[in-house]
Amino acid sequence: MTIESRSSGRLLCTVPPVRGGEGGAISQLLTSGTDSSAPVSGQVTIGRSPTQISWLRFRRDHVGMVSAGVVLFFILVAIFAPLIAKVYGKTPYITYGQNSPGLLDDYGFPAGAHGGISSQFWLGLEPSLGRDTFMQLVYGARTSLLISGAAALITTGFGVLYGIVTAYLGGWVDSIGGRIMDVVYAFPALLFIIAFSPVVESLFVKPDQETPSWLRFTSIIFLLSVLGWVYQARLIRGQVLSLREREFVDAARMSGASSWRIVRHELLPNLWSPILVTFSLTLPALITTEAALAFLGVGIVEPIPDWGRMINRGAQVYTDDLTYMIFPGLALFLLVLCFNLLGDSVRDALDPKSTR
Amino acid sequence: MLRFVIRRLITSVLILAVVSAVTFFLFFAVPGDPGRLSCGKVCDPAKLSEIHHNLGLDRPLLVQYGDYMKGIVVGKTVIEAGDKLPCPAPCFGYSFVNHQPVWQTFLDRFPATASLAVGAAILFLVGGVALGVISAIFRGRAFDKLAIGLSLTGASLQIYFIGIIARALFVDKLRWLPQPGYTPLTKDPVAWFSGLLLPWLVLAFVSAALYARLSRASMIEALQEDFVRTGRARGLSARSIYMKHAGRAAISPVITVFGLDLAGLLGGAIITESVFSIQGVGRLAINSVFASDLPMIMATVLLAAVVIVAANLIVDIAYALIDPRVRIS
Repeated sequence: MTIESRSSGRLLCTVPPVRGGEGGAISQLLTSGTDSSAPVSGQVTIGRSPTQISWLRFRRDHVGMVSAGVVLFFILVAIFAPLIAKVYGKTPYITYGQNSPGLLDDYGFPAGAHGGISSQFWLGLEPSLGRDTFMQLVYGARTSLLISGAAALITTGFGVLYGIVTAYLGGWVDSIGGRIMDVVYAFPALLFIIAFSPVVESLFVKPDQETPSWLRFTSIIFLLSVLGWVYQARLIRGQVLSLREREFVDAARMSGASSWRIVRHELLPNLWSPILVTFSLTLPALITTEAALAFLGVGIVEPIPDWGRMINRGAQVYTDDLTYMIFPGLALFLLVLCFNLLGDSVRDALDPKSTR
Repeated sequence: MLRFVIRRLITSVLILAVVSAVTFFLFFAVPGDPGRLSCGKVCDPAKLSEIHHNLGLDRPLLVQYGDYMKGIVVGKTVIEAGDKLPCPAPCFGYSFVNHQPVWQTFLDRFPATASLAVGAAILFLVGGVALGVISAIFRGRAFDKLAIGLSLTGASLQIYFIGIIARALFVDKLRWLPQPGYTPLTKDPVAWFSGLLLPWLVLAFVSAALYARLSRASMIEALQEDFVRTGRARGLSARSIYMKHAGRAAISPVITVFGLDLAGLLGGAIITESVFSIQGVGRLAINSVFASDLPMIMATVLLAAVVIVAANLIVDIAYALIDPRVRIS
């Protein structure tokens, strides 16, 4: 992950290619209008903060803006899912196909072409249970974004904290911290999550009880976070190790600033871009892991709608009803694609030297 | 160089020891009785306590761990259903489900996973790096844009989605390929190849994307280096510049990611093998989780950790071979 975020391919060229990384940075700054040493006559020179420059650069990136729009759309759909359900007039839980005969054929597959798409059921019906695909898709966005968002916040938060503490304190703290990261890194992540999800649940639920859904959510978020932080920690640790030796940190230390002040006012402002970049690239990775878990049958369970589980159900009957798995698959693809594009754009906006 | 390798070897063994200890204690210290799992559906207290004794569960946890590690290193005797059975090293115990030595089952399943991984790795390494390098050379042209679009699509697609779409299209609809599956290479090479062709292609499409993006970016970076300009000024052939000078500088990030991919092999195998119904180690891992087959779960987690640590070690050594600066630190 760190490697990928360091140097990844040019996605789409929106800024005219400038030869040489440094030259690119300078010419960008000049065109942005900061502190131009030779002001063009008649043009007002405006001072801009680095944040404003990054924001301007991002605004000019069409791919980034479109991806941000799509991502925002998914987030809004997830938040306003109950509202959509009200307008659409259905819920993701009612088995319409079983309740009213004629919607499903004798084998339990949706009657009518393409998975039973009609004006009433926009994206068709689920095979055998006959629930509404569109509603499951809308509520599935909730599941996906809730789990991956929470896990991304936890992993990034903890990873950043861990990276700063070990690298800033250095010495034996750093050596032990580094060894711990090596060990966490050696765990097979997906297998570990799969093997431990029953264990985590058995800690809280007796075998004869049913697992409450909030516990399922927390245990998946916990398992995704427990090994995931190590990538962020590694990246931030590297950054802090080099920042720590810089003159401005020395200067702050000499003038008697406390460690907390140095971390807060000297290090953190320089860490925001790597933090933002890894956060935006961690999210899609977590979205796909969550869906993969559900696909394998160890993720979110019925009746909570989940894209991964929808794909799994569709995969079981793909020869008879391919439509059912197409929609969650495409939704997942679109969301992950836009998050990846957005992550790249964020990196480009924050790091003018990046040659994509 | 030798000192570097030895030092890294020792670290790797230490990491594995810690991983095995953590895994062991996590599995055996949590509530839930491994003896019950082994006992089966009909289980009276006398049989349960006998199983406890046979598995050594009545002894302190630390002794159990020592015993487990001893079994892996030198082998031991396992008491299974009243019989004393030999379990030569590396002994991971007997499965609760099929009552066979875990190591034997693992060996039986490994060729399928290895065939899948090696075939796909050759395809996506060659394809991805070639695509990336060519689009770096033709930076900004139509080929470049096409390659970028393709690799971005591949990187955002999921194997459990595109794999089934590909199966529906090429196997069921067009009938270009037979049903995917694994036949041992020694038994029928043609069936081996045709059964694995679709999984290879899908896996390569999804994975090659990352390599294409990566090798393109690092190739562009390398082409801007001074030594490339010097080489051009000295009149070196394009072939020599691209392959020998820039190529060598561009390859190290590719090696790192390949190491990471090797490390994630088993995780990927779980999904790929589920999609294409191939009975490999990945299927074995997830089935033993569903069946609560504790010795098998322990073994797969441990062996996956061995693969990860070994992959990291190989990457480090490869790095040191390519870049002399790494050896010093």
